[in-house]
Parts: sequence; C-alpha cells; structure tokens
Amino acid sequence: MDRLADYLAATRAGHVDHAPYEPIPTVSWDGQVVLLSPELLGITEPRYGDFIAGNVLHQPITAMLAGAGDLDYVAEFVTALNDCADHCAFYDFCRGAQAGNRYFEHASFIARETTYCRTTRQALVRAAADHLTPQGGAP
Amino acid sequence: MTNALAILINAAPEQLARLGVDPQRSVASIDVAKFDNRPAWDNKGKFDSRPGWDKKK
Repeated sequence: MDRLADYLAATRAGHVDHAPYEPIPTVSWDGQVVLLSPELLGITEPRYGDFIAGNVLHQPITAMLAGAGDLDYVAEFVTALNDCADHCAFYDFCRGAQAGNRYFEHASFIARETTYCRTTRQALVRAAADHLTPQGGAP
Repeated sequence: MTNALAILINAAPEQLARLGVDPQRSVASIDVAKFDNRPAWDNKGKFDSRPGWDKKK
C-alpha cells in the first residue's frame, strides 16, 4: 500500500519518470553474474542455460549489460515488458514486475501476466479503488 | 490505464485520505534506480520475534 501511495502521490503531482528497467545484476561468490532476478543464480535448464551474463573477474558489468540483449532470457523479458506496456492496464503502476515470477511460474519470460502481478499489483489497485467506490466493484 | 487506477489517480484528496494516503504526502520523482521493488516482507526492518515480556529488558 505504501508503494501504491507513493505512485499515486507522484502521479498526481506529475512526478513520475518512466526510467529504463533496472536490470538487477546479481554477483555470485565466484563472480558470476545473472540479470533481471537474483533467484536465477544457480539455476540451469536446457532452454536458457545457466542464465550467466558474464563474470566480474573477467569483464565489467557495464560490458555485460551492453551485450545483455544477446541472452535469450533477457531478450524474451524485454519483449514481454513491451507487451505489458502495450496491453496491460496496470503497467503504469506495475512497471512489469517481476522477471523471476514469469520464469518460475511459466518456465518462460514471455508470459505477460503472473500470479504475482495479479495478487500484488492488480488486486491491490482494484481493492483500493473499490474502497472509494460507494457500491464497490471498480473494473 | 485501467479504470481502477484512474479512479485512484483522480480521487479527491479526502477519498485518498480514507486509504491512508496523505494528500500532502511529499514525493520525489519515482526513479527506477532507487525504486524499492522488493516484496513487502523483504523491505522492512529485521523482524523482532521476541515475546513482549522479553522486549522490556
């Protein structure tokens, strides 16, 4: 609710900046880096491999980010984020969270909607709007 | 934008106050680099699980 309150206050004041998505580089104990979701560290599967974008012992993170679009899972997530922005009515508040939930719920980053976004974003907005609507039932 | 989101954005200040949103809430621009996107259970202080009688010591 605090997050929604911040969003509402910022939006009503015209202060919302649509900045680029934070890629959340996560570095393991041995320097391996995964992007988008810390939960992907240590995961290996045939479709996406080990999710490793590089190793900080051999390459700066800025270089990994510059080449991140070549990683299948990052490319899929970017596509999904754009899909969210184009089609989801909650995107202005949600901003596309979260990559890890897309993968662990759907085994893909292409999925546009997750249980996580329905319960933590959509339901929150609907419940708050219902609270302001005399008979409830905000669409 | 969903109607539900629009209802909230366009609500009167006294309506938002019913949700606990202070109409005078000071805001800085939402900067994604600083936006805390962690789930609510992960962005609070360390949970103190001690029973009440133990906190008074």
